[in-house]
Amino acid sequence: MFFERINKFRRSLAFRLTLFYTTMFTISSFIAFLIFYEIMTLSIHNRTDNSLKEKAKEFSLLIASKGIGSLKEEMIHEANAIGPDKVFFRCLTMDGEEIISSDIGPWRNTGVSRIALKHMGQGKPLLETLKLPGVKYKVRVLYEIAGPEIVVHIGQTLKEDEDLFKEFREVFRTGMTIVLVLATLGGWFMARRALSGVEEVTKTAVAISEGAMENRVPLSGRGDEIDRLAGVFNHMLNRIQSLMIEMREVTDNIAHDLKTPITRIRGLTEIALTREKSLDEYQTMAESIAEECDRLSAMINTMLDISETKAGVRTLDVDEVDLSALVKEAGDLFQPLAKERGLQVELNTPPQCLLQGDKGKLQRVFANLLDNAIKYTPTGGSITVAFKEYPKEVAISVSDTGIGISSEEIVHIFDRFFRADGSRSQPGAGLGLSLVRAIVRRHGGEIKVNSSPGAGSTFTVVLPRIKSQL
Amino acid sequence: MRALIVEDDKKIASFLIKGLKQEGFAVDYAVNGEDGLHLALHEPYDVAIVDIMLPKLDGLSLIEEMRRNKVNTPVLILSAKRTVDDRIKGLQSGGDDYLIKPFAFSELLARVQALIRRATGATEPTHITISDLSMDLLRREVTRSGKRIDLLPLDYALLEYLMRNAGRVVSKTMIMEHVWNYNFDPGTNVVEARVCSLREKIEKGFGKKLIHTVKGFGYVLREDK
Repeated sequence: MFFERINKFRRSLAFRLTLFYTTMFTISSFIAFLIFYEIMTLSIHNRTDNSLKEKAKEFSLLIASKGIGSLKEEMIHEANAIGPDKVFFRCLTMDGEEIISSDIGPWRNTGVSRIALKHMGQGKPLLETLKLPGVKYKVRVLYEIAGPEIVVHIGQTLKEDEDLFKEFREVFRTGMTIVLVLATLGGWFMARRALSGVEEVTKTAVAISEGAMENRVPLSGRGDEIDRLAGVFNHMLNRIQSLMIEMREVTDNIAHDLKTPITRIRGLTEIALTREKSLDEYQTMAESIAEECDRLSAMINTMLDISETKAGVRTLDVDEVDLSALVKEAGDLFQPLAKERGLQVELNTPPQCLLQGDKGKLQRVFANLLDNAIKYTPTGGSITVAFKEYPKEVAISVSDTGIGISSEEIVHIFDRFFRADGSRSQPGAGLGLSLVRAIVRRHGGEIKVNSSPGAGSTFTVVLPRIKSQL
Repeated sequence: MRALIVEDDKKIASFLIKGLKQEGFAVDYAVNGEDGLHLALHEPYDVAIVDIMLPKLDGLSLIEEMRRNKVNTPVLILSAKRTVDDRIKGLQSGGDDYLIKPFAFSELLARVQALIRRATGATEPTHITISDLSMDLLRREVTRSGKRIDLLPLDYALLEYLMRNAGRVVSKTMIMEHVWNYNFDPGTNVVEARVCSLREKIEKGFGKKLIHTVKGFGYVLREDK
């Protein structure tokens, strides 16, 4: 349980961000400190070396002006002024024999380097750092020619330098600890702050998954990435909610529309079962039942077609379609019906009108529109189909001189189950236009309607000529 | 003709059995896929009608098993699923045709007979004659009592369908789909109007009625006795 929580924590984005931030910050501070330390030690070493060289120069000038005799006193004096345990001076012959020296007591163990003397033969000064046995601090020594056959040998303890370095390292350690703590805290704070928006999104999502569909992520208004995520998330939620509401409405309508014919079927069978009837009567009832069943089945199929077309579940069977021929065929199909009802059908089709589309689905569009036009146009009226061709699209309008649609009704005309007459006596009749629009939109087109009650309606389908992705 | 029905819904099965027996079929029936497969492998059938959703062994596996055992009985698949994918799956597994529930018995019968015709390699007729009405399928000519009748292509297709299914009831949906290739649910009586105009041409002035309306269902072309 505990380890699980630890593991969960270690996988969290906040933890990883903090770790990354701390590591980066610490490494860069460490490197900065290191560079500073290196430069400092180098410059302090240089300073020490320069003071040694200056001393040697001073001695060589003294030898040149006053001779070696005066040097001993000067050396003792100088050494004592600084401290005989901190510095020593001596003069050597080229063979390493001591000529004069300051108080060499504490420096007994400082031998003379043969290699250094050999070096002297070439006239170059030599600096070296020694670690004397039994002495805590290192010693910096200088050999330099100070006069004819005279080598000045100067040694100085590095105690002060090393103490300084040590002190610095201590400061450095403390500093790094503080940096580490601050970096961790800062990193954690920043990560939490940056991710707090994500937390909000998560909380909302959890609340929604528990059923609070109306919850939304509060926006900070900063316009940052998290805000954008929250915005998109809210948008998605709105969409889902509106789909859910639509679904609920559709389900209610379906329930209603299925119940009506089922009630009728049930009623018919009940009548058939309760009283003895003639064969003819039974036959009529069976016919009515079959008719109701066909309607139910057609309605269910149309509903599924609408959902599938809208959701894009089924891919369109896209091919080159001659819309002109398609509309002519549909017009021919309805010709006898129009004649029977005393309607004039006028098809103003161009010789050819090619576009990419699903032939079966487009047939349905125009068959439905003509079907509707005939259904709602009283005897003596006329129905006109006209084409308008544009470079990129085709507009086909189906106009009738029918009963028209009122302005309150027109906004709902493409809704599923909406029927302008307000009655629900004809099941399924409210699905046609909804399917038509779904198909047209799936083809990347749009359908518009213009209508004035009593004067007729015009449905205009606009389809793109080429739609690369259907 | 022997037919095998594999269907777990007893009511659907019983109406299929009744209907097929009425049409002169000898019918065997299995309620699950295993029994169905056993029968299909051991008895010679002219046609099998198989539901997809079956207990013990599903319809598609049953058909695959039949084909693996070199049983080439034509199979009509029944299913409530109506997506193209399901149809393709059914045909790929070795089914010969696919019918979606709910269906009209007349449609099932037409398909079963088409399957048998295809399987037995029966030659396509060149003429159909019912009573004094005859159709030359090659020349696309219709005559009644020796008198030529000119028909529009849409009317010709409708008459051909009715004649090929003579004696059987065809529903309005079947006419929409099979004759004019329209998969749509009209809110008007467009089919009735077309049938009416066809009647005008082939019946007016010839006396005897050939196309009969079966109310609530569709039409049947037959000679009235």
